[in-house]
Amino acid sequence: MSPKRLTKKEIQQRDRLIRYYAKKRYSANLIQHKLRQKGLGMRRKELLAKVREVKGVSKRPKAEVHIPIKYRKAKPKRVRVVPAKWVAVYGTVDGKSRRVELAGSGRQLYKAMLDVAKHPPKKRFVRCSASEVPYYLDYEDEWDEHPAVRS
Amino acid sequence: MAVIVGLSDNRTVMCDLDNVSFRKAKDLAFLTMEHFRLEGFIILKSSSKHYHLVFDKPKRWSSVQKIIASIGINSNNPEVWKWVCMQVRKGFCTLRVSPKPLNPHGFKPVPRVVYRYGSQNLQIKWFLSMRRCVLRMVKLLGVYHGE
Repeated sequence: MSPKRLTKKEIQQRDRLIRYYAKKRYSANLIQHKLRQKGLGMRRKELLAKVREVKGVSKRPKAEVHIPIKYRKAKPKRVRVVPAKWVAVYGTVDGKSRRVELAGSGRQLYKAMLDVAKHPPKKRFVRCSASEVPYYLDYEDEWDEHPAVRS
Repeated sequence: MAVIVGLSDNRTVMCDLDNVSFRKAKDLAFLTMEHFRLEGFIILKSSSKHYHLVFDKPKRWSSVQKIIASIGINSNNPEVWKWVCMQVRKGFCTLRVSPKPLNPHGFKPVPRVVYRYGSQNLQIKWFLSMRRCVLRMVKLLGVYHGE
């Protein structure tokens, strides 16, 4: 069913009523309800625009929409990417490759490199802070003189 | 004894191009830089027909993977594919900085910068400063006697 078309007079009356109710500080809901009772209903969007005009309030740029908690979607957690800048030291022991990845300040790296350059790690692949390096090194073993590393 | 020292990072777009001519390496670098808006790059010569690419703009690891994969496809070179697969498996890119011992004797020299283009202030600056630091360290340690 198509909505009833209002005459000019009715439209003027409706505008007057809106101004009256808005000045009385009625809510938009109540104004709409009262207009509907009098057979002068209008679209909410247009009503809100008129009420704002009367009150002299500008439209909020980002209106908050109320969503009940049960319908709210959980915000995806932002995964922080930790930048990793590492110095990789690799070579071979008895022909088998081993690798150490170190992170730390220049001084820490230098201290760690003193050991790492001589002794390989116990495991095949180690990633650690430069200060923790001594725990991972095999001090009884040594790197090969000329490793056949394909990098 | 001898070890090889490299630099690793998961925010810098780096690539190792093996068995590629300088012209192709340069073309690949320009193509990648323009396509992914990486702002600048340097080319380091590791040995003849072996080049390293380092780009200036920092990217997330997911983007870095895409970029190095596209370089691999464009290069049409199995050696580069292999390198890309290894980096993706590790979770960060590594490029050699120190000399590389060769069998039975001798060393491959330190990679040296042969070409620069565009911005050099972000990742390239970091890479070159770390490279300098590592090389100084390696020299102090005296690991490479046969250099």
